[in-house]
Amino acid sequence: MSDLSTDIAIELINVNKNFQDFIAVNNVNLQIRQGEFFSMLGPSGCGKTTTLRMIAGLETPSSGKILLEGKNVTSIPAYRRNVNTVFQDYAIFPHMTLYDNIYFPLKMKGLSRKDANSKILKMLRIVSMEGLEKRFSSQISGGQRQRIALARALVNEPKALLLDEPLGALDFKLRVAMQTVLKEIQSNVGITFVYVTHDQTEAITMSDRIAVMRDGIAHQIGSPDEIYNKPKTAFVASFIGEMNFLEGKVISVNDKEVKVKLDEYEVYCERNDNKYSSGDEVLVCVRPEKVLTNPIKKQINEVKYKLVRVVFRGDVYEITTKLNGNELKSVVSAVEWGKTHLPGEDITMGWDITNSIIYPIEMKKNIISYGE
Amino acid sequence: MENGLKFKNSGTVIADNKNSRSKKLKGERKRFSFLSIYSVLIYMFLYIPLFVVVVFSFNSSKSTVSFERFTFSWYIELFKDSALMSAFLHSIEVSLIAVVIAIIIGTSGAFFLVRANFPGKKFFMTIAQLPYVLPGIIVGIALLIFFISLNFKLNAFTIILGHVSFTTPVVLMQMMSRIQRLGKTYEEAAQDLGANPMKTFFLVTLPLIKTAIIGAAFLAFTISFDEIVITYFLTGTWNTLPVFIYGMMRFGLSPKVYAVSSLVLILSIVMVYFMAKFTGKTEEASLKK
Ligand SMILES: Nc1ncnc2c1ncn2[C@@H]1O[C@H](COP(=O)(O)OP(=O)(O)OP(=O)(O)O)[C@@H](O)[C@H]1O
Ligand SMILES: [Mg+2]
Repeated sequence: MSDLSTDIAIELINVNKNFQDFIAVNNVNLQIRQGEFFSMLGPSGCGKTTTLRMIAGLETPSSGKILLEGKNVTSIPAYRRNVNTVFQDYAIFPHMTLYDNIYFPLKMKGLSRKDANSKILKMLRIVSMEGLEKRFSSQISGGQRQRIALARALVNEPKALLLDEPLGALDFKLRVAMQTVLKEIQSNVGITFVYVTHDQTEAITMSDRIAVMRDGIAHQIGSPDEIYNKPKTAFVASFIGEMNFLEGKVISVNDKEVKVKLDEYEVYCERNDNKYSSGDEVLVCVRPEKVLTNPIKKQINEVKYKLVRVVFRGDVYEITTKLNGNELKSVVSAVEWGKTHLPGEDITMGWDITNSIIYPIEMKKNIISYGE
Repeated sequence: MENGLKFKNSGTVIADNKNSRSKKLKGERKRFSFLSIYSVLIYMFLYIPLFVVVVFSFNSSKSTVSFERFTFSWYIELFKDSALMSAFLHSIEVSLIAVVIAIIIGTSGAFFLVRANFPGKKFFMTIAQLPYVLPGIIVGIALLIFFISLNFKLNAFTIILGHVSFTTPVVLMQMMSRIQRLGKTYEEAAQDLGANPMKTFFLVTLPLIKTAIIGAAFLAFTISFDEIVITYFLTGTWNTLPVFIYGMMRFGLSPKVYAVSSLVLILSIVMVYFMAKFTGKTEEASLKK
């Protein structure tokens, strides 16, 4: 453990946070590695901000421990923790110039203005805000404010930088531009970033690892690839990307796969941590872009569903098919879709076992349907 | 065809609207002129007496009916009247000290009331307003009974305490709304960046609520400076200016009373001007200028 702990920047052990009788964070365990871009992703109210504030020291856990570089900091106040935060509304002090805002944390460390100057100018350069340092927060744009908040939080070279939806207030174009800027700054300074967002695309494109949260519970912690391709719960599967959820019944189980009866068809899913036995009702999941329509090669899982609707999305067609209660969507490139099928026709849909995920039926209630 | 019909219908509706609107406008104009006469009367009612006081303070004769000759002599006499001058200084003294105490109690109280949660908070806030809201007579009598039962001698000290009691709620209200608006983010940001609670207060919180404090101080001073009812109950031989003026009037109205009233009026206007300049203005807004 000791050799590992040097690599771990932030660790949360069984952390709980209650507000009166409301559980905002429910037994969260996290290990964030040194230099990692770690995201906390989840719908509104799932406890992301609360978790971040506990790491910053602005909120005390009701129970559990928080370690920074192996040291227990649970009861150490924010001003003595070597982590800094970029707040959602940036919190640039309005009564100070931008220069003095960046000087503030250095001043708290006892640096004179003269000694701090070169550091401040360097930070201004990193966030491309040179020349604007004499202005006040009210005289710059939202994107610029975000850069100043970043510079102010980074100038002390903290062990970790905590960012609470730093791009939430920006318009789409600026958001995408700032994502690149943030990512670049992070790899330049090599500081651990803990990034809170409810935007799945942002989390997936920027992060080394993601914790997907809901109702105070961390459902899954893993790389974007794991989260997307091997979601541990139906909630994670539905929250990130598009997902088909089909209801079926287990026929048989062996140590590698589960055979499921889906209407009159038999399909196979890879086994996972949940327990299944024959007769169980289950959810069979597959991402639309992994579903082939009229596959040329015979697929392990094949069903014949009725075509319901075709939606043109520019580069792709989204095909929706149905059988009984189950709806199956597929995304087909515009070239492949020959427009030869009419609604009501039967279409063969197929997918590989590696893309076929299974969950117990109880998880159905955790599916988030507002999707993207 | 159906479309055409609909269109026609909506056309007539628009025309109807126009008619009724112009009718309404005429009515409004009439009402508007009535309203302007009404408000002119009200303002005359309010301001003519003040105007008369100022004008007759420059009247050479003691008459309050006819103006004889312009003179500054009443003002000169004021400054020669040592009892009046000391009452004036007493008032300044009482108001200044009371305001300083009220600012300290009111501001810290405002932080507590905005940020702490305790059962009965709403009730407590109502109670805290009472000394300002209740009629001066009641507050005056209550304080008098209180001081007498404690065997306090009525002097400057009791007057100051009395003034603290009704200026503190004023400061409290002003500061509560500012602190509410301020939120906690700036202070949290400061702590996050390494400022201990003390530095956070002096480098971030205080500068951000500074103008609100100044505004509240001007408001409290204005209210305190011309307060008479409560002061009257608590005063011994030690007079404040309003009490002294009231005493002067027992010997009849004179241009001297007008002169001192005019000066108080001007002072109040200046105070209210500064108060308006500072309150309701956030530091963010004042920076933009
Ligand atoms: N001080 C507080 N008192 C009571 N409840 C709180 C407090 N702070 C947060 N909560 C509750 O805890 C839950 C988690 O809040 P949190 O701010 O961590 O959510 P979040 O994941 O950051 O959501 P969002 O994406 O909307 O910012 C919410 O239901 C919220 O109402
Ligand atoms: Mg939040």
